[in-house]
Amino acid sequence: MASYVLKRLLYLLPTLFGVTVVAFVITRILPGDPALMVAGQQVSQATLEKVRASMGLDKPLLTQYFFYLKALLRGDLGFAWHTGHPVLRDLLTYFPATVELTLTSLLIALVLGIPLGVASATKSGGLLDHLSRVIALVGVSMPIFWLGLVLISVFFVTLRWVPAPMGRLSFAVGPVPSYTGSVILDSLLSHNWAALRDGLMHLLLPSIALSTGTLAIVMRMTRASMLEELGKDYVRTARAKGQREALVLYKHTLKNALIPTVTVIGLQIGMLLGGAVITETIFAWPGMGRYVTESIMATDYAPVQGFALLSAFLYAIINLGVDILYGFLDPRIRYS
Amino acid sequence: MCALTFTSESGDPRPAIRGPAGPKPVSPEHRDQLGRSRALLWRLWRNPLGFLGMLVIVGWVAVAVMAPLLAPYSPILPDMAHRLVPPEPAHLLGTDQYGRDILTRILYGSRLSLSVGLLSVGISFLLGVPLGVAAGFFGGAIGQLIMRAMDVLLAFPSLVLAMALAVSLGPGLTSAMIAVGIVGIPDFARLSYGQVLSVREREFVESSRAAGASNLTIIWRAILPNILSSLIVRATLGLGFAVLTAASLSFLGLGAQPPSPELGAMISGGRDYIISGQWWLATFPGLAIATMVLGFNLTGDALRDILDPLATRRKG
Amino acid sequence: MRKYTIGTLLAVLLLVVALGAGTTGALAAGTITIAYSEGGHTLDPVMANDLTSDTVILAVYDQLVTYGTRKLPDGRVVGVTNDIRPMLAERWTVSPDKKVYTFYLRKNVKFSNGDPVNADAVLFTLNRIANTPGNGSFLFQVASIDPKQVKKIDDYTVQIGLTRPNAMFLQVLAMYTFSILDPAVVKEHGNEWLASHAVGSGPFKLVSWDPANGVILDANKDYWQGPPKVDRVVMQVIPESSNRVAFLKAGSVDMAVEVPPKDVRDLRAAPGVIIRSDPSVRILYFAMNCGVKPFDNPKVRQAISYAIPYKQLINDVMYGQAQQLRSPVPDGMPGYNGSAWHYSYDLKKAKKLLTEAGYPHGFTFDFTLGSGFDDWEQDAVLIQASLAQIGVKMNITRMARPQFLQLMSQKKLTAFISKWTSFVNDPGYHLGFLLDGKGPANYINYDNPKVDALLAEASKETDTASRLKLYEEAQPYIVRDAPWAFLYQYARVVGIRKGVSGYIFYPDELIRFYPLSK
Repeated sequence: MASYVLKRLLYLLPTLFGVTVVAFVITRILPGDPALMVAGQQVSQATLEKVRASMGLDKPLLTQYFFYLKALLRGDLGFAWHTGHPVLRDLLTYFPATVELTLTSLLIALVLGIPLGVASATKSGGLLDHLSRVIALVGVSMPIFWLGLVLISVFFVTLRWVPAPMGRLSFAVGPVPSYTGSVILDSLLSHNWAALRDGLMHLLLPSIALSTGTLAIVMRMTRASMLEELGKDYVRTARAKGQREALVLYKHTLKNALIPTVTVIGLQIGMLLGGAVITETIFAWPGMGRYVTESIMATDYAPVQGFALLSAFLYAIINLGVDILYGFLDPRIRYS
Repeated sequence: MCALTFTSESGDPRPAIRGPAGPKPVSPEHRDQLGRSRALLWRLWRNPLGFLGMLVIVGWVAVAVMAPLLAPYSPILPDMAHRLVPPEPAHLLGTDQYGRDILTRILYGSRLSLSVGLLSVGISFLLGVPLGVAAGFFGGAIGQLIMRAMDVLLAFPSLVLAMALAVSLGPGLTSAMIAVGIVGIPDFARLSYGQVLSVREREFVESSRAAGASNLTIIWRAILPNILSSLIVRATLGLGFAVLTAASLSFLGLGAQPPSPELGAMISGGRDYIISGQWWLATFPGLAIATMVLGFNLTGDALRDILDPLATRRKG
Repeated sequence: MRKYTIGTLLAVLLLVVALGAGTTGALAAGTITIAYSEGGHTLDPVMANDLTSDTVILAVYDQLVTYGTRKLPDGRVVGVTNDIRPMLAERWTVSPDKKVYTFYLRKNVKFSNGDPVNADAVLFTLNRIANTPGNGSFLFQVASIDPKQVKKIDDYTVQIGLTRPNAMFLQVLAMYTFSILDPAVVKEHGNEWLASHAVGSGPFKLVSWDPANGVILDANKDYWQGPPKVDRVVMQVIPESSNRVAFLKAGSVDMAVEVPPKDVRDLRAAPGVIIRSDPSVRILYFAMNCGVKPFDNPKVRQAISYAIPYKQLINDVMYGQAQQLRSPVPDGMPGYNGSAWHYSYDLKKAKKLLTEAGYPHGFTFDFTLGSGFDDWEQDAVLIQASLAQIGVKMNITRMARPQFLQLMSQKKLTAFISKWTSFVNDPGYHLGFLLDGKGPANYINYDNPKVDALLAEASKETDTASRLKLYEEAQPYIVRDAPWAFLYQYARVVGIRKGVSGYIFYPDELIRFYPLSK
């Protein structure tokens, strides 16, 4: 087991190396001159050259890459000129917001998706099944950014049920002390109920918008594997023994049926992180997605590279985690 | 953007990014007899969801082709005297901040979305499939190299990669289209890689090899026909994904050029007017995208039912 | 167990929805919250060049001198950039040849950490500006400051020598770039630290800065001019203009900058909101590259200038929150001369000029639209539609701002729209950048020897009135040459809740927080 994890981590290295190359190349071919962005238009050409040199941009690309790698090995992800902070600090600042949004969406997708999936499997071919299938398809067909805007239009502009779609907390509520970086947990820990309510209301729309795609997939996945499990002998045996149907469904079958769902969840976290880019832009959510969007639009190289590395790493770790979880759920799988 | 694929069967054609071992082979029994296209269409027609999906697609294609005939106004000429008009008989879906008729712009916009979708899936397909087939067929170091490269691409959130590429390729819808195409390559590569692995050792491949056929012939004659059906399913679903991603790029200001009536850009332009209550600017173009993508997804889903019955009809 | 947890969470979520969210409570007294569109890029005075960052720097730091203010007949108070007043320097003297300035510093002024503000701090600051590549070091050249002639006379006296007399020197010295730093702080933490932290002698102390959320500033109770009238200023980042408007209307913020013109009328009618709209010196122009056919022909450029629906742009795009630009120099900048402007929306005349230029059937050209400003896109679309009527086809290519800036600075763009606010509100600075044949921001290969000669002469002139006269003389040449179509001069629109007072408009469009009260 340990050796398997080690081996997988070793396999990760070349991928991460590849990611540094691709991220470096992509940022360098981003059109635009960072020196011009930093210095602005009201300088002379000579001053601009000096700014360029001070940013190390006058060096050959290979040298720049080498310097980047060297700094990276020291744990230095570089400096984001467009925020005035080291990239690592920025990522640590904005990461929790993205995690909170992503995990909440995932939670919504699971809480609604698994029961619906189970229900449509047990009533396979029935109205609920067809309905859930169509809903699932509609769910993945909507542009997230549009759904976000529609939700804003209905729940904020018209009904006024939620606070202005902006950030994680209303500023009148004020910031909560940061223990975990999650506004919800932090306001719970500091017993700030107003902040808790406000934080949840802020979280509601973006996480719903972000969850639809995943919800659909979880639902369909659960349905398919439930169907497969329900056809197996042990279920028939259990039923024959006269066990309660709910027990059969939830205790025996669901556990096995969840195995493929778990795989999908791993995949979906990557997807959710990508989807967060758009959602964060619409809801002015101060997370990594918005950060990287702004970095790309500002030709700020270091944060784009840092983000790429972090997301590749996360992606790999999550999938490793999924594989390990897989082993726990299904003891037949052996790691080699 | 969210994935559009329902990876609902355990013989998932889009295996997880789990380790270097590659995907589990798909049970191949049902791959052999790829229905002829007419038969396929017939079966799709008979499937209720497939029928609905095809209807939507045919509808949108018809709209796109006949846009100039159907559209009551010019899609680009501003008419500042009639701007921000809510839906009314003269402007069924209202007008935008330039006084342009939103219905007209959607009709024309469908042309852009459909062609961007088709072309970018074409790019993903034409680059991804050969890469995946080569990796699966030849295996070894080349195969490893190709698939690792795909891993690297997959490691980026797809929209972020598409954004960076679209910015790098320069302004314009063409760049966005290519960017979306490139982002889709790993999907097709992985799928065809897995499929090739599962049929590589099968007897019809062995027999053509024994008959002395060249590698190219084996791939063309024996392998491709046997993996085509899952590729078609993926391509159909991929169309929806491509339309969505391209719209997302336009929404972020990449891609479509003003004043062209691109649907994502229309939503983006209408965004400022949501808070002030002019909901129609963003709502209708979004509905248009959603129905178009739904059409592709319905069809793709139905196609999978038909081509891969094992996946969905598995009741003991 | 797990199901139980999820169920509870779901229940909590539903409960919260059911309770609904009322609007949040009133703002705390003593705190002024101001909505900004972005959160700034750096707090280093030498590197900063965006409105948010510059504003924070002005709140935290002091400069040697500052701009005066004037009350207009209608009651508005505005900053006057050529009226230079003492700040950290309580007085100064100028040598007869106008090349040496001696500044006498106010004694007993301290940085907020207790360190003294003295000649060493001034010297350190000026040297740092000279040696840090960026717009600060370029301003040294603009003001003709000779870095070798910056001297400490005693602990509270500093002498600054110029390479030649320069009318802009004191104006430049009043800029945020010349904020006096505490040498001990910079030496202790390093330059990079200064990008995200600030310790100065100014009226406010920086509590926190997060570019995604905003800035919190607390009053410096020991400020040498007396404590500010508010305890705290919060600069809240609200990227979407419609949200800034909604927050202002609801009273959730006390002020909002960059109020979109389309909402001004609505806001004026809203109870509790006052709209301050001041003509700014921020200009918008439609540039035509004189080095690219057919724009190398002045007649073509004039034809385009006659085919632009100016009134429509100002009324329909800007909703009146702009005024016609009549010269490359904006109204409100010293030396402005708009008398030569004669363009109006006249398609017949445009067509005639095109025919004279040899393009009776029009032509096609590429227009580049830099992203990020809504009005630019609307202007471009309307201009495109108008030009189509004289047979001129304008192909719009929109690109991300970095790429736009790069191509523009490489003089590669055929035609584009751009805005400009000169850091120094002076025609010499302004024209020298934009339309001098060798101007660093002359992106369109405009080169009129007559104009260059007048600009050169003016820059040597030491008498203020004669200097401005020369700039006034240069402008009609440019207007006739029409390297730009002169679109408009923006108004600076700020929304203010009733009860908040002390807002002063400055031509640099930066709000000074010190005079604000609530």
